[in-house]
Amino acid sequence: MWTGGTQQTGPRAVPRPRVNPPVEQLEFTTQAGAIVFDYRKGAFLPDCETLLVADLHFEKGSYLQAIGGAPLPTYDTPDTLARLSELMDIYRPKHVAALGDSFHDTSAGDRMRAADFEAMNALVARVPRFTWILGNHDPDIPAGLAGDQEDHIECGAFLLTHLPTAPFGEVGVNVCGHLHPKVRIKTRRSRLSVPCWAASHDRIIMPSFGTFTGGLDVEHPAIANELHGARAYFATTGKAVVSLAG
Amino acid sequence: MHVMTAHPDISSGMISPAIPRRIEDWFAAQDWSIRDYQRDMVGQFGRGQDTLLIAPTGGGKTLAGFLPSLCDLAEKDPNAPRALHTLYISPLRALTNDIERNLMRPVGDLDLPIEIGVRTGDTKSYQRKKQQTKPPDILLTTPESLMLLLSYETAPDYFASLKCVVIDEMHSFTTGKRGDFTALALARLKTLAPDHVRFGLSATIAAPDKAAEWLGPTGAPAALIEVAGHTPPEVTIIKPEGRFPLGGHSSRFAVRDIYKIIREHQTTIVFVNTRAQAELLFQQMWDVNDDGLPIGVYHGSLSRDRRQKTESLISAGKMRAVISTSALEMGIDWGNVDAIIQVGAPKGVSRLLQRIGRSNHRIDEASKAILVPTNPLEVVECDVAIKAIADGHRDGEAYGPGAMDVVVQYIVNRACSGPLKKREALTEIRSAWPYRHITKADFDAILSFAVDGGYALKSYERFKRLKATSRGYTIATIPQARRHRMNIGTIVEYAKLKVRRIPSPKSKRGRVIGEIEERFVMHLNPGDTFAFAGETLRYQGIRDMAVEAVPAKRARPKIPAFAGGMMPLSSYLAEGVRAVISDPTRWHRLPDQVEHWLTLQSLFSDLPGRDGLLVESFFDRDDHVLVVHTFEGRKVNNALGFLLTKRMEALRLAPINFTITDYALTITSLEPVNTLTGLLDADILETELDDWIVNSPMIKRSFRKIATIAGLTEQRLPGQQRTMKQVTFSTDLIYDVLLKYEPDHILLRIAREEAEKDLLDIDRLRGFLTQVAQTTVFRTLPHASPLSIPAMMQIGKERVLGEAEQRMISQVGQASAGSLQDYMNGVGHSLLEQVKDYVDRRDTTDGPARGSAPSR
Repeated sequence: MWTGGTQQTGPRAVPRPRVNPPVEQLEFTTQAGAIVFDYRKGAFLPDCETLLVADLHFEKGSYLQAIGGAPLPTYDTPDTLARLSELMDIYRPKHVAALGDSFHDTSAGDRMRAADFEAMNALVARVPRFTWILGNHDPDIPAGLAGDQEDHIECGAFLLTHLPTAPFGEVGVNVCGHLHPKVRIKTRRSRLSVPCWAASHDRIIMPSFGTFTGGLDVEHPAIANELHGARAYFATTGKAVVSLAG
Repeated sequence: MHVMTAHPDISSGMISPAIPRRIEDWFAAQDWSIRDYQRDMVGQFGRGQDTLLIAPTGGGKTLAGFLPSLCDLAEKDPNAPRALHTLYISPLRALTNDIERNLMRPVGDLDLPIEIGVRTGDTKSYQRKKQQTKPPDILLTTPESLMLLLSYETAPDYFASLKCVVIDEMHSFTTGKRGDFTALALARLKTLAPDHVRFGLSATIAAPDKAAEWLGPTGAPAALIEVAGHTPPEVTIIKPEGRFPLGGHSSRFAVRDIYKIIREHQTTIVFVNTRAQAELLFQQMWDVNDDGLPIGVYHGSLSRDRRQKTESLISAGKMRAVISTSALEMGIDWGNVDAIIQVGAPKGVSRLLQRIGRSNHRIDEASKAILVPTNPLEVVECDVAIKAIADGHRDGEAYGPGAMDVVVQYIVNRACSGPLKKREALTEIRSAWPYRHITKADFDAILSFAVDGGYALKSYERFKRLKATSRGYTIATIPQARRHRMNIGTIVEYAKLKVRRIPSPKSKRGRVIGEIEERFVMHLNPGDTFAFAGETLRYQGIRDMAVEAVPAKRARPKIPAFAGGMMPLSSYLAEGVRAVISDPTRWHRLPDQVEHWLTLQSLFSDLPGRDGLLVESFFDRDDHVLVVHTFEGRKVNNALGFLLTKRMEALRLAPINFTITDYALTITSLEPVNTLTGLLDADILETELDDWIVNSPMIKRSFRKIATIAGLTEQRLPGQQRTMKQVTFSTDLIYDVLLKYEPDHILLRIAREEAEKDLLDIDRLRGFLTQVAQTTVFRTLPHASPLSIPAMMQIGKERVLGEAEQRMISQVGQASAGSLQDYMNGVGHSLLEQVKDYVDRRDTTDGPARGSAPSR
């Protein structure tokens, strides 16, 4: 029989499932080889020492000012550059590939501050090779900017493109941008939506890197239709990358 | 009898102002006599004296506001060119339609040469055009539509002839951003037509002197006419057949009781606190409506057609009941409403009185209201409110300084209509009472933001919203003016989609019946059913930016979540509730069940002291829960939530999130709290909070609203469909970037100040902690106590961005626990059994005497 005051105990100590500590980088093995996901929203291909970022959208802030009329702060370009520079310091790549939509629009170069333009060229000069893969937002990159321009790049069996593209060969993997995937994470008591890599056996869609870029849920047909068979998501949260089953 | 108190200038011995003969005759023909204070208003108009009229609902208050204009206009030269004479400002669109109907009667009967126009968001574009070229004599509008009119270049001419402004339901304007917005619009009108008179009308105002200051220009408070002497309302708490639930806000337990009341009355308005509750209760009423009574539902998300149809059915006496949110709370005059039911906590004495005032508009008969609290704490709250009404207490309104983001919008609005000179603009802004103390430095920072964002880092090609000319600042481009006009207002809403009701799955056409929040639609799959506009609809899909849905069988529909349902509890009621709970000698007023609930609480755990603090700790589902029963209101609980979780984070207790109600703070954590030592010490206030607060999701939500009001981002972009989802996301990004590169920017300063003012009350928390630090009672319990259940059932959690979040994200994919509702059905049910058990034993063995301290 319940009576007040006689059965009081302290909160139970409950054993919790062992949890792996949060990791900043996570290595994922694909049929084309290894790829490292960094919570800073860049990926690294160890075999060809290539650092990948997608959808930088430089000058989106000034675009929204000029076209949308919004009095937004335009710190996005210098911030995106600073974050890319940080990744280059960590991975010391031989090659940096920006997977398209690096510039928000074709007039981005005209609006860019001279200081940012110089910083960008300095960044390109720091690595042996820097490639701007052209995207739908940036069919041309601004004149006077260093770095190669490509439609696509092959790194071993990895095919690097802006738009999702079928990889070559049986073990090929396409790494692309364009879609800005985000994944919803439901923990017991909260809900989050965070940028992620969305992967199936032959495709990895990169999260968008630009400071002012938004995202699209991975359940959206535009993303879901590009992934075939079993899926995996690699979410960037706080200071960690978390692997989620699709 | 009517008692009149007034400022000396209108005290005794006044000469009766002249009222045109035919208007006097019209009153006589209606079998009405013109009341003294109605006559006085005509006198005040003649003297050019701004006046606040406080009179009970049903006393002819609205007519008093319009009588001076009717008298003045009745005498006008019918051949004079038409010009705007009177502007009526209402907080609700519904009210303008109702006032138009009521005004048309004397105007029509007397064949007065008066044109009346309505201008709201519902007004069709051809009517707007007509109003612009041929102004009506009397224009009925809302603050947002008024601001839009003020943004046109024609505004100085349009308003130059203005003689009178009537602000109805003024209590709803005196606080909050919408009030600040209205005050600025009034200041502008005073510049355009310096000689017009301002009349404020209200039924309930706690601090009439402050309201009178708000109404007049700075330094010239309005005169005050207070009419008292109405019959006090009869307010009772429902006596349900069943029991009050132990937590949550569901009215299901009382549906049959509510139905019985509806049957016993001619017309009943059932007020609920949220739109979701309105839809839910309507569905539930439908289940018990054995007599097929005409019962309707009314809230702001329904289409204009739906709302107007319901309004006319009520006024024609063809509705027996309507279930409504605050949308029907104000003004509308329906003589045949004879009962008010308030479902859920009243939240404030003034708000409750306002709702009660909807019934029985005859001033000499008592209004009748029945309160339906949905958990024991709400029962206590209702009891305190009833006593407060009987004792004549009212909630105090908080008259703080005006919000700065509203000034940004005002400046841009002003620049749209013509050149703005800095000194004149500052003088005009200061003449609005909430902004009387605005500094030149703040004004400069706000103007600088309005011009180009005011950032330290400029673009190469400088962007401008306003351009400086020799005559002053003007809007830089026509698209900028259009962008501004589409975003006027201070009510920042979640993105909505229209709901198109398709008669059958095969048909192609349908009618739009209202709007639904996009974030709710995101959770719907085709085939799901949801309750809307009082029926169950099956979701088909989205086409042309509208949700398409067909009528469906009523099988457990989802209830849409509508934002903005959380009304803050007045601190007066919060303190009253603590006083009752802490004092067993006052429990006899409460229903037996609630008395037993409190006794159970005192036995199982403890009671919070009159000035003491009760803290409870227990394990629930997968987490440890700490409930801090402060009874100090949301702001204090919010501030304490930040401080405590920060401490807990430092102590590696891994707090997950915290929830606040008006009464308690609930923190869940991965590790147990076994002692308050080191947690709730007095030095907790010295914790460095700034870093914690500026990174909280809470301040980002504030920033989203500020950014929208200040025009940084918009609700609607011209020619481009942009969803609110994106806006939410991008304001977070903007916030993060500003915090990183320009932490002193004016918008961040506004966000921080607003959070401190509206969300945290550090000063009051300090007082509370020093006062109660000595008398804290800490109990560790085997499970939730009766008192903690309402707190645990609260939704709306504040995430703690710390270790726990990382740990939980790492656990994603593991089996998730049941919902809180499951919890309620489990623990809540067993507690109920315990209450029953206790009552049974008490009845047979004359158990523990009321209020005796249980041995421990």
